[in-house]
Amino acid sequence: MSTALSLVEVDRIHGRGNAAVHAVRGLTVHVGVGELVAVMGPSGSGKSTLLNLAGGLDRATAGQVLVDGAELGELSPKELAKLRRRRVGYVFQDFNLIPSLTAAENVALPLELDGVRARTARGQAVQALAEVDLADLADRLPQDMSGGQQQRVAIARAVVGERSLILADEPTGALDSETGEQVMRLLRERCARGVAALMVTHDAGHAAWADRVVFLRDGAVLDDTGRPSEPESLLAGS
Amino acid sequence: MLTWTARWRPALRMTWRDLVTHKLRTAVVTVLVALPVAAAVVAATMAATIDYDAPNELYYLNGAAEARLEVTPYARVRVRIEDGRYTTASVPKALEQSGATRDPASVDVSGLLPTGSRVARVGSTEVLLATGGRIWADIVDLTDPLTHGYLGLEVTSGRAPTAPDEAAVSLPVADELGLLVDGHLRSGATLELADGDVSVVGLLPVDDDNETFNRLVLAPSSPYLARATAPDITGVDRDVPSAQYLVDLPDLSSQQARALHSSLAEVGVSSWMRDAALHPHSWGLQAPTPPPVDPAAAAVGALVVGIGLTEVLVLVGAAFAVSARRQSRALGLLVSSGGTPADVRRSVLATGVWIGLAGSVLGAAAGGGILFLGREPLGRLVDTPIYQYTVPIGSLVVVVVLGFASAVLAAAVPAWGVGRLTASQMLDGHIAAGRRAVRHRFRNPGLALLGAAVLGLVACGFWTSRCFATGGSQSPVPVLLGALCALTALGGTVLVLPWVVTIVGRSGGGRWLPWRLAARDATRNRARTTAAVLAIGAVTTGVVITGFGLTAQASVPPPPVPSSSPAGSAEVYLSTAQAADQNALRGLERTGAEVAGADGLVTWHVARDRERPVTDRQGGQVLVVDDAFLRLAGVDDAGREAFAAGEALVVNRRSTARGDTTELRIGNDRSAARTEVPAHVLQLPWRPSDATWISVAAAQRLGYDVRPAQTAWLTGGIDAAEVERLRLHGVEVWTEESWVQDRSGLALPLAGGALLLIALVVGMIVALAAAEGRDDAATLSAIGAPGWTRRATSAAHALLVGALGTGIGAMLGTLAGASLLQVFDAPGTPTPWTALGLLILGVPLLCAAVGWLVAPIHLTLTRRTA
Amino acid sequence: MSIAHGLLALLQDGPRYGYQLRVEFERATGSTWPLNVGQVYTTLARLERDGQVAGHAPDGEGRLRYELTASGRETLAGWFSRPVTLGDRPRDELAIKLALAATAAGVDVRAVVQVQRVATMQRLQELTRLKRDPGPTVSGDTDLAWILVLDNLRFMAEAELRWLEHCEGTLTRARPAAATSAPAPAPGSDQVPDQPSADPQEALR
Repeated sequence: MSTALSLVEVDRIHGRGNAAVHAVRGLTVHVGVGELVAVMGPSGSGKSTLLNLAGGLDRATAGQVLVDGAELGELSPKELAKLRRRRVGYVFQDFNLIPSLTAAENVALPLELDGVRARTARGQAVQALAEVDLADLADRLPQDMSGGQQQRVAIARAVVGERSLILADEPTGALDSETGEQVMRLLRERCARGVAALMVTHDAGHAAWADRVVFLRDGAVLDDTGRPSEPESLLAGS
Repeated sequence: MLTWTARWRPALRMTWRDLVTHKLRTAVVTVLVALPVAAAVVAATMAATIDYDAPNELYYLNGAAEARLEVTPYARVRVRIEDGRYTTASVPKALEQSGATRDPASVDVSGLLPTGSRVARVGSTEVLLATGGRIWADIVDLTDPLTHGYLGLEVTSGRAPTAPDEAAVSLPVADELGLLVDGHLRSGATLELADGDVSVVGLLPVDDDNETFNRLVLAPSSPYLARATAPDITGVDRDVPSAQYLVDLPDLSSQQARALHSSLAEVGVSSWMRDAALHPHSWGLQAPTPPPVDPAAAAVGALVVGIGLTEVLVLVGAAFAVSARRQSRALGLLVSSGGTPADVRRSVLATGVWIGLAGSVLGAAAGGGILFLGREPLGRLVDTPIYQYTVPIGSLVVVVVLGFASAVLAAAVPAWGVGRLTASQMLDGHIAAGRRAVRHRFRNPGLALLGAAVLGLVACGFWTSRCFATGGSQSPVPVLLGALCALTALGGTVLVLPWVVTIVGRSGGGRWLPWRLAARDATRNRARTTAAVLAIGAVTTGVVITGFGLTAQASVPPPPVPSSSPAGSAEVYLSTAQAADQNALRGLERTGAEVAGADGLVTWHVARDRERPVTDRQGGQVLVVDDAFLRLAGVDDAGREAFAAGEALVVNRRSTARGDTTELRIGNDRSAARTEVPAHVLQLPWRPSDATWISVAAAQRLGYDVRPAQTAWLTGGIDAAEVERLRLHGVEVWTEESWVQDRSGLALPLAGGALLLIALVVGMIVALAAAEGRDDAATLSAIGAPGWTRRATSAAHALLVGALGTGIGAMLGTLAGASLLQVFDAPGTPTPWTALGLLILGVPLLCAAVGWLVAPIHLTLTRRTA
Repeated sequence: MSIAHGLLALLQDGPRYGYQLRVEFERATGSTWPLNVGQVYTTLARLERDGQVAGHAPDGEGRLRYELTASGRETLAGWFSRPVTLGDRPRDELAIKLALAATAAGVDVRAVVQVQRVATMQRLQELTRLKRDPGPTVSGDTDLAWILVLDNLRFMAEAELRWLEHCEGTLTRARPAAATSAPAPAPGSDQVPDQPSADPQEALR
């Protein structure tokens, strides 16, 4: 399986000397194409740093971050921004949408920033919204949508265009379990179509939707559930 | 490559929606940008309109007419256009010598003009009143639209006179003569003229500073029209009767107008064409050079513009910074969706773009509205009735672009700051100011700048006072340097202020919770506090400088005028007709006694030799006087004895040869006949104009003719108020008590405007603080703080800002005012102590009150992010 | 809960053959509790002895059908209406294992916890996968029963994970030194491990 995202021996150190804080130390994570990977760990274990590094919002102090084979450390800020417009989509816990833009405009934003013509961008955005079953809310403002709907719009924005890597930071954190499950189902669906996703979560139930769960502690990978075994084997063991 | 529009579209859309959502904030900020734009639009248009070159000025001279004609008594005149407004005419010598004249009124003017022309006869003449006084009458049909604006004449009460025996008079005259009841003309009001009564049917308003306060308007059907001479605008000679017409012409090209102008001259008609004023170049005229710029006005103007611009930048910038902070999450999302730092900057700048657009367009529209609706009050303000605005398109474009640019510039500072933040900082909403301990990098440069500027102001003040002292060089350099120093001081203050705010906030802890909260908030949001302090500082600076200006103006002593009449008497100026009319002189004496309690009228004569003047060695007049004159003039016994003995009295030793004779000359030229007469030099307690006084007997002996002098003395102590009243009765009197124009009426609206501006600034800043402190307020109320805590905090905040701002304004204003206003050459440095005291006490209190009132007490619980 | 209660509940719908009962039991419990036919017939025999069910005469193919007696209905009603109490459940081995690991010297409790977390998470992933892609065996009326059982297992696993997470936190606070000195037990996560080290013995030094 080819990898969509690789972090290899990545360090991220804030500050210097005695005040230096290792947010991430020797971190190595791979996400394959079409794979959904969940990241769990106590707060301060470097989960958010991992996501920021993966999308080029933050730069590694050492090590390599590769998205679709491109080494982020070698990209200029402009190229990083371009990467976020074309390759990587973010989904946050809440307040994912720019309040002054409608759902369709929020989804179209990366395209418009990329210079796609307004009409084309809107067409693609509406299509992306249709894929998350929200085509009829295209012209609503975020304030007129439920939390679950907002998250679905955010997912639509994260995948609009040809983007192949979703970075999700607690995407279900602000939702009830039913809505959370809908969102997870949507993420899985996107993965089934070949999108890779890296998701930080506190919720074991939602993490279990992933193909793999990576446990972080103190900025490094502690454990990894690996490829899951076949369901029959589980039942056979009981 | 991305197109320009594609780059800006998302940012513009986002900010547009955001602005629409926060309507109040948007409105306030837009108004802040629009206000100076509106003011500048009005000021620029007014300046262009009252400019000497502007068409509006033509109304006073010509009404709405396309041309004005003066039919001279001569068959042909030579005309010369002076500058598009004035035409002078002269008569060919041969024609003048032939003495052939005609009755100007008999010329058929319409026949000389292109078809479609229309004429309205106008004229003016002096009319003697039954009081013995005289009044200048304008003969004009004010119901004719051609006369609209002519000489500023306008009937505001009653109606325009149309019948031969009808008249309109100016309001003060009607008032003085008792023609008014409750401010309106009483029925049957009449004005007694020397030749009979006319009924007063209308009132004319009065401008503050022109000579329209005693005026009379008669209808063209009045018998006085026959006596009307041309005013000295196009005329050949005042004393020669001429007929004057306002003319409505069909559309003519400049060429046609010039041709008409020449052809009229060929038949003895002097003409002025509007076309010459509007298109001077087509007439081969040069546009008049603009008047030189007054250095003090330029300096104060620069300071005002600088302060205003700083105000807008600082206040609007603070508002933009707050809104940028409040939407930091959205900016973070923009970055995470692939926005570059440039996109983030654009989305903050876009706020400035929208506000700038709205503000400048609104400002221009408001300016237009003010001009349209405020035509009359604006005209009164500039002492010029406004009939037609001159719209300086170029200046207006500059003003609008400047307004737009200032809003964009105000947004540039927060945009630059936000653009440097990392994405995670934005996403976390951690743009809140003052979290980190800030090194005051700009404190020392700021203090240095301020110090240098203060020294510079002191030096410039000293230099200015030297330059503008009596006999100084009047050089504008020190004044302009002073203005530069004042602006530098402002810049230094801007740099030092954050540090001052920190110090004050730190020491301003205290025990009282609201005060402590306010001080902390002020320190934490240093940028916003600095902005507010600066804004208030700027306004108070302006007020203080104006105060200095008024005080300085008031303290300048009036220029010493040598007294030209003996103590206790007033000079009366007489027209030729008056002086020759014994009835008029008796009437004058009577009126003087009735109105001003005058003792009597002393008159004298001027010596002539037929039509030629008689002068003494110094070119002074030779007056034929009597003993009453000498008594009043305070001539001692020796002088009177010499006078009785037939000697001439001279008031200037230089008029005598060797001190005992003088030489009287007939005519002004070298061939003048000279007569040596014995003379006596007088020492008088007053300074008469150079003259030689002789007795009637001496005049007869010398064979001189005498003619009544056009000056006389009213005796018996007449004060300024009586002078004013006498003038309304047609008696032109003058005393030494100079009339000081009182400008203090301007101070009140100015102070009101300043206070309003301060209230606006404080209200806005407190509202901004409240908007940012919503979470704190929610917490406060959650732990049970009473509602007034918020109000008190808000008031304390406003008080802090107000006190700091006033302090800075008083300091800067005093420095700049004291320095710049040395141009007035006032003794010492007149300081408006009372105003300063009131300001320093009043403004902080006003601020606190506004803060208390503005504070929202209804809490809206809001989400803590986004 | 016993097999007996389960069989009684299935018989409430009407008489069943023994084999039929076994199939329906597995369906209803979501195949989480496999039975062999022997267990079914032993239990049925015991129930018949106690008068809870009554056996019909064998049919043509020699199969015996059972139906519920009045006494059986009573027992069933009592079972449904009585809540499950702690005493009814077996003791939790994991809790006891952790407790012992904490007291025993030389055992890295956090490693034990982590190993268990991975195992439980894998189990939860399997359960989630079952839930999200329902297998071909599940359909029709028994869907609901299946989902209920599956959810129960998922929530148990989630609860266990949360508890394990909490344990880790508690342990970190209690023994910070151990937390930093202990090497991560299975750091080789750059390659995808095909089977996690689920054997708790490995955690013992």
